[in-house]
Amino acid sequence: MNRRPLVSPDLVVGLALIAVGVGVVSAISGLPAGTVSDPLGPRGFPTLLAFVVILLGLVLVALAVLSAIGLVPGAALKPDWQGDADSQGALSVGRLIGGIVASAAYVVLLQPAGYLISTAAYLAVLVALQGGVPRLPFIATVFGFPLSLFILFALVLGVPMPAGFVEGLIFREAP
Amino acid sequence: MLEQLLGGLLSTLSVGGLLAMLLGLAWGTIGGALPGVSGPQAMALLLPLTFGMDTGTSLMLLAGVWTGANYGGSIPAILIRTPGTASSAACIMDGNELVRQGLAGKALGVSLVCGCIGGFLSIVLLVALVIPLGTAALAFASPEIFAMTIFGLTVISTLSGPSVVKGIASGIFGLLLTTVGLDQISGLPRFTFGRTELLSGFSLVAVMIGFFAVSEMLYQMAHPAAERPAFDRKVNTALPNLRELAAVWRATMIGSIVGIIVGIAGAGGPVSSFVAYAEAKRWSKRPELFGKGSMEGVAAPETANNSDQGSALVPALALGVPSSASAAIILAALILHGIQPGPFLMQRHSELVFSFFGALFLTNVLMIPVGIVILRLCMELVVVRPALLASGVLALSFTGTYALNLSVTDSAVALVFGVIGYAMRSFGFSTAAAVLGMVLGFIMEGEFRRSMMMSYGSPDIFFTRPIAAGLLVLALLVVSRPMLARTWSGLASRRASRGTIADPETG
Repeated sequence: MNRRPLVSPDLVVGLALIAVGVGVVSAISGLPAGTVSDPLGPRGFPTLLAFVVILLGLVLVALAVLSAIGLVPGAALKPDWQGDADSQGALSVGRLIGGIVASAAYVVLLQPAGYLISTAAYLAVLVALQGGVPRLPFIATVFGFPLSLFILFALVLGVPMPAGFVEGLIFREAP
Repeated sequence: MLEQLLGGLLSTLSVGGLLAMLLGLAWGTIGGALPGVSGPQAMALLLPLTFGMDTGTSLMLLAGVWTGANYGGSIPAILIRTPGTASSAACIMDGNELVRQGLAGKALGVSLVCGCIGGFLSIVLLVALVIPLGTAALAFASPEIFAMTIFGLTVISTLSGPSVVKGIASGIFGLLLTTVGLDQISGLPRFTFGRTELLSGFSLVAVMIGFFAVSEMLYQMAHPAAERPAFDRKVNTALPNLRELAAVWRATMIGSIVGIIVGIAGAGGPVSSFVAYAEAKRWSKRPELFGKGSMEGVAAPETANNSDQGSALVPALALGVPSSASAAIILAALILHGIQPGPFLMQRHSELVFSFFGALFLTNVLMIPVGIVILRLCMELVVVRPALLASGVLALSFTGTYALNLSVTDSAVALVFGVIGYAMRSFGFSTAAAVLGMVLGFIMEGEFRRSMMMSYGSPDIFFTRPIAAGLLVLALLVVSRPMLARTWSGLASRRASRGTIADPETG
């Protein structure tokens, strides 16, 4: 029977679930308990869910330990099949972190910088991060896509997109 | 009922309705055709746009996306062996082989027409089942509704990935997300940590976009795929004639039956198409042709692919329990427009539901001309560089979530749950189960607490009412099924190995 190392993803995940459950119980403990008219009260349902999560975490930890000592077969950590069935390459941590940081910066700067400028900058960073895009598609995407989205949301759907301080300075009407 | 159905169909024949369905079909087909963008993602990305529409029109738009995405996924699957959606993977084997034989147009045509037949049949079943189920559900009180949500959650959780434990944990995570914000009964804040932005909880649409679109695009950015292979873009859809359709009728019927059963069970997606392929091969008169360019090998999975969608709507519309991610998004659209899904949906909003049925029928008919016309555009987009696709979808995701409430908080929520969704996927958890848990959570806590109020705090109420008790027992069986199956097969193999040990006296 195949053994797995003790510190396996399932063990880590199991401990994380236990931590989440304990965290939920702790966060909800300040709320009032149930009353006669509402026996569960506001903390009953989340507490129940938290205990189920702790139980599931204990099951995962137990399976990980039993698998490490060879008492149960180690289940392969199969990739989630929900995503694209196309074969994907190995993990690029730089791209992942870069993508997350760029997205966070985009969300923060969306209102102060304005929609068009922040979206164009965001796309430029993302496309450059991934690389391999020739100049013409790069320019078309960075400038054309934000404009298309702006037309769709602001003009067609009537959603007021943020003008921002920077765009306000650039596109300010002449007195 | 026929009158109501006709009324629903007629209500879709407005300029706005037709436009919404055509746009939805186009968007869904393109979304489905783009590898890395699934049907639920295409639907979730459109949800913010439906906010300003009336409920009926937004449901017609989503019906179009729903129908279009099912066909769209088969375009790259057939042309370049790259499924646009996971459900289309089963038609690669024969579809791409037909392309090599110069029959690309015919393969696309069979996929299109058989898919529409499958979709049509499942909608007939949907209409036939949802009304009696909805009527039966009138007898449901809070304990039964709660038990139904538990059953729905366990079905999805156990079928949404390789690990039952992780599937259930994913569903529970979704339920926990709905407890953030003001408690619906006492009005007290929960898990807000003093932040006013969290008083109204997490936006369901923002979380959906985060889980479905942002996490998938982060995954694609972090795991760069190979370039798409080139293919001949001078392909036009060639609709099958009656003789060709007759040649695949058995596979089409098998695909419909398999898709309908799997859709109701909630397994959906790739399960229905691969099972349909296997069964069509088993019952075919020419099974040796499967894998070498058999039209039946395209017809069966594509029919199943479409027919499981309609049947997945049966529990969603009749009982408020979605059995697929796409069904959950339909319910989310209702919630977005202030309509509470659940057993009383049919009674309180029957005209809306029948209008949606009418839209589903009509989009299956309109899919054929739209599919033919939009093929050229899809073929151009299929070879869009993954870097541009991922970047574009991310920008659209954050734009759409901002547009919900003109607040960057929702965009931040989409990003946070995109990262969480990526982590969940990496560790084998199911974002679809989490989304379904979130959709169910809006109903579940309220019904649970009302049940406890009815019984003055005693949980016996769930075990003394037959329907509620029966549903909870079913839920327990569903959860224990994989373990029972493993135990059974272990016992069976031990028995078999004992039987093959030679008797030392007789040899």
